[in-house]
Amino acid sequence: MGDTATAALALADGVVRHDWDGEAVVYVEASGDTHLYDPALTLVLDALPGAGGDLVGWAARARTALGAPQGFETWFPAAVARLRRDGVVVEQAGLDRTAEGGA
Amino acid sequence: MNLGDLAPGPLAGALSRGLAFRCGPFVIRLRTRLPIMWRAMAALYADAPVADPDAFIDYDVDMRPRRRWVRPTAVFCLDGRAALEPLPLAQAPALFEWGLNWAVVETCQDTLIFHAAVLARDGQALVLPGQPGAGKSTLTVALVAAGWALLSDELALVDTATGLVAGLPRPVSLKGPSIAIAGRLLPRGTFGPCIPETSKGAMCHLRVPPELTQAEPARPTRVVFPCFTPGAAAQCLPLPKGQAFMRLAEQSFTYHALGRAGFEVAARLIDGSETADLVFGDAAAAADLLSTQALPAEAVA
Repeated sequence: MGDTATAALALADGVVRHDWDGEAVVYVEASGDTHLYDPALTLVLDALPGAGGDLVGWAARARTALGAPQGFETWFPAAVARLRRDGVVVEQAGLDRTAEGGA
Repeated sequence: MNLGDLAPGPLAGALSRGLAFRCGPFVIRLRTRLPIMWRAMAALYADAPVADPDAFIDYDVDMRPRRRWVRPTAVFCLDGRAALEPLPLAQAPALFEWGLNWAVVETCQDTLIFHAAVLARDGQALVLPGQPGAGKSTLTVALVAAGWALLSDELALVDTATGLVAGLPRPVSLKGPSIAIAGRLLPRGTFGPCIPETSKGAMCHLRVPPELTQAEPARPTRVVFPCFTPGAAAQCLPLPKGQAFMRLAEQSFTYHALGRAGFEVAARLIDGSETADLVFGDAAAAADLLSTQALPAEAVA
């Protein structure tokens, strides 16, 4: 993993990494009390080469596909990112939390 | 006694008063006066055991009518509260299935749940995560026809302590052309009422015969991402574990609640599984491929 990524991950709390041959995934925990934008989470992601703060609400889309109604709130208590061997982020996603809002 | 042991009249009466039955690890009590739900339950849950009168009720569901004359709708209520948007009365069976999905996801926050079908053979589970349209349900029916046991069509419930996937064999949800294909693949199956014009098009649910289902948990050893592509020959493609992890996370409903523990459980699941993409245009050919051949080895980066 690249120096910048290693340093960023080492400095952050709530970071877990799992390695496979040639790549890794990291779990980055947010403060948990923010709505849509989490400064701590974004700080870590921004420090990772190739990453950014553009989090996508995957679970919300999946819930909609299962028939859940629209109008649910979404926020991001954590993110996951996939890193190449050199530490560059090649994929990331917010782990969104949806709560009943419009049912 | 199973629901199917009740004649239509007594079943309708029991459902009108509230009838508790077992479904996988859950006990559901359904109360409904909707005739379409009586027919759906008779067709789709005939093998579900009636629960003991003193059994703990996990989900207390009421399928109520709303508006009798002008565009009548059905409402899914959980514990007395309307939980989802009402849908036209003819779509009540679909609303019930979607409502149960919603209820399980909302209440089983200590379980890692993926949007995935799960089948098992020789004690080992095959997990098929997939977005709608990926061909997951049609492939599921084809695999059942090829001798795999159905654990679940929609939700993979992974026990965070053991890593095992629970059996939750509910009706398979089929849409559009998949309905006729599934009927040909599994003539022993039983269809529920045809549901026209849902948000996903025409739908029908298929009950898989109980001898082709499995309620016992199984250990996942393969995670395969189906991708239906019209006209494509069935082909498994290697999928690196990091990519498989991200795809699996994309299909998770409770990862957010489990946080770090969810990450670790998902990573262990991927660790212990072969991973692949599956492109196919014919579900039976894809099922044959998965039944007879090993997955391709992952190319080392």
